Amino acid sequence: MTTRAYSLGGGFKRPSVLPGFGLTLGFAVAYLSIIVLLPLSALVLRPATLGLSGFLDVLFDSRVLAALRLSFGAAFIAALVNAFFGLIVAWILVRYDFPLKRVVDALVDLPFALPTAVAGIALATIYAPNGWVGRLFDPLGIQIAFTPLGVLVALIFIGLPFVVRSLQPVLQDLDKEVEEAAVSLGANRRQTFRLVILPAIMPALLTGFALALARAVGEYGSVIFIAGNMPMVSEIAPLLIVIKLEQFDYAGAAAIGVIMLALSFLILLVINLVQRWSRRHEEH
Amino acid sequence: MTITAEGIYKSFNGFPALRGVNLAASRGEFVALLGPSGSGKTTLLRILAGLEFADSGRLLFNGEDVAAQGAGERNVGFVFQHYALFKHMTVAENVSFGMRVKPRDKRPSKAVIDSQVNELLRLVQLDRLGDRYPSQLSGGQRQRVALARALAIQPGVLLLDEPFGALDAKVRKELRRWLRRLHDDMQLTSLFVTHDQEEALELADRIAVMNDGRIEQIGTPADVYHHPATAFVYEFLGNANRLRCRIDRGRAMVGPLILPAPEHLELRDAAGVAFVRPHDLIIGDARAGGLEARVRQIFVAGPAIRVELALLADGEMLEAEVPHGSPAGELIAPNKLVTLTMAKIRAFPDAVAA
Repeated sequence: MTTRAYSLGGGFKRPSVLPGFGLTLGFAVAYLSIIVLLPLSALVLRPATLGLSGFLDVLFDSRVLAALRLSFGAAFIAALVNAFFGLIVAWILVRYDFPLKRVVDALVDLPFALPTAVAGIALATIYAPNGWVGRLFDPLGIQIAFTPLGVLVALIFIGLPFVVRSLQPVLQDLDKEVEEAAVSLGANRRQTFRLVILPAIMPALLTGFALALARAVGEYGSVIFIAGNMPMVSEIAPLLIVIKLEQFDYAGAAAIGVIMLALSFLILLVINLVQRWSRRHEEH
Repeated sequence: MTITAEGIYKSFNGFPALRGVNLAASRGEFVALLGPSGSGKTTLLRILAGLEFADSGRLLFNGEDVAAQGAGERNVGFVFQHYALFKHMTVAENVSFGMRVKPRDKRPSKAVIDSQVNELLRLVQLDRLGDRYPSQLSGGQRQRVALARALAIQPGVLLLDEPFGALDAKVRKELRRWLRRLHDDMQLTSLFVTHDQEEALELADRIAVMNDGRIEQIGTPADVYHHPATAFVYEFLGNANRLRCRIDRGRAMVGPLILPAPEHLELRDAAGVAFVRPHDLIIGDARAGGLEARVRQIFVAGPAIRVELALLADGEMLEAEVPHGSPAGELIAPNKLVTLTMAKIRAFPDAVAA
């Protein structure tokens, strides 16, 4: 007869009703290593050939700094714009019934599906000074295409679905009685939204914001057609990477890649922490 | 606050939920709206709260027409069946919500709000739990938070939608007594919705029994229990056996039995139903005369022995209750033939019977 001893508390593996922990953990780690970690570590190792001073030279090159500022700045503003208007779109789609609602709902996904180059060319065409929309702004002295403003437009375009699709299920599940409770306690519409609805959807809104931001930081295809790509003005960091590659400066390209990776990781980490804080009442 | 509802009609997408409801509650009264699901009781409560609007009819609070007022203007405390607490707020924040959303000129100072919250939390016996989130509380505690939150706006009337529906039996009973004391101490006017007749009978000053969008009867618990106006009320307020009968000049004939039905002196040979409560059904020896029945099941656990019987005539199932240790207890055994007589019945002619 054999006896099996379970170590209590100290063991890594505990008896559980969910089987397959070892197998699934092993698979998850192996899969993530091959798909995510391996390419990223290659990316991080490459600039090592530059040495620290070479790496810092790339980082503090004014053209690189300008490109990073544009990429992250425009992505941040675009994500903010998307968070605001995406919330309105999601709200309308969930709360109200109107003709062609299904069609409008499907339209939201188009920026997902469209090849980014097609989107970029289309946007560049209508926002150009002689395009449908650009023509309206041209007399006001505002040029959209081929300026940083054009970059922003493209990033707003590709980021919208992330916010809408993150919010929709949460708005759908929002308890109607909670709103009724707020109203019967004397809250007006604004107070009900600000004090009751917004905190409830905040985690989802942050998720949508983070996804839109991450997508916008890495966006390449749609932006390069509308940006004009003037160094120091409307040149995004991913484009600069491609330019460096074309000049066979692989280590320099990888160095910019590493910086973007680090910044993105940091931003997503902060958003994650904020999100955790906004869900603090659920953590029990 | 006195509440008067007159001729309230309400339909949802063409389906009538309320068909002309009249209800009045006077100051300090505790009124139960009792009925099965779908009888319109929650709809009526929500119309009183201003969360739903009637298609027609008048609604008066203290004689003033409030039909056009929104929920926030009516100064009504509403307690939802599933509490509807604000999950992202602590207990104290939940309770103070109604005070914090007041217009700036009417909003009490923070110190006043804090002291009132503490007082309310003490009242609902949740002091020291003010910092917790609703997810950290038990069902009964959440229900009391919901109540404190509703009371914080010093409502003229307290409306409770199935307030004990989601709680287990023991907690429900405690909370029920406690709520009744609270109602009396605070001199509230309260209406609550329930489908549990025991709850309504124990808690309410008056009960409005609702069925199919109408109020079938309003009265004190004793009234509706002992003098049910309709067959529906009789059946809903307690276990009842239903037997076909003929009613003639103040007597009801159930099979070979002739029983007094003094409410129906004027009826001549009308078809109807006779209701008999399980404890009024008397089991006798097979030769004793009466309705012949066969014992099917015996349940001895509980305050009395419950016996299920099938009538020989038509196979109809009846339920009887026999006190432990009574002579009738000796007679019953599975499959045994017995006879039944009735201590008391209540007969309704078919026109009135549901």
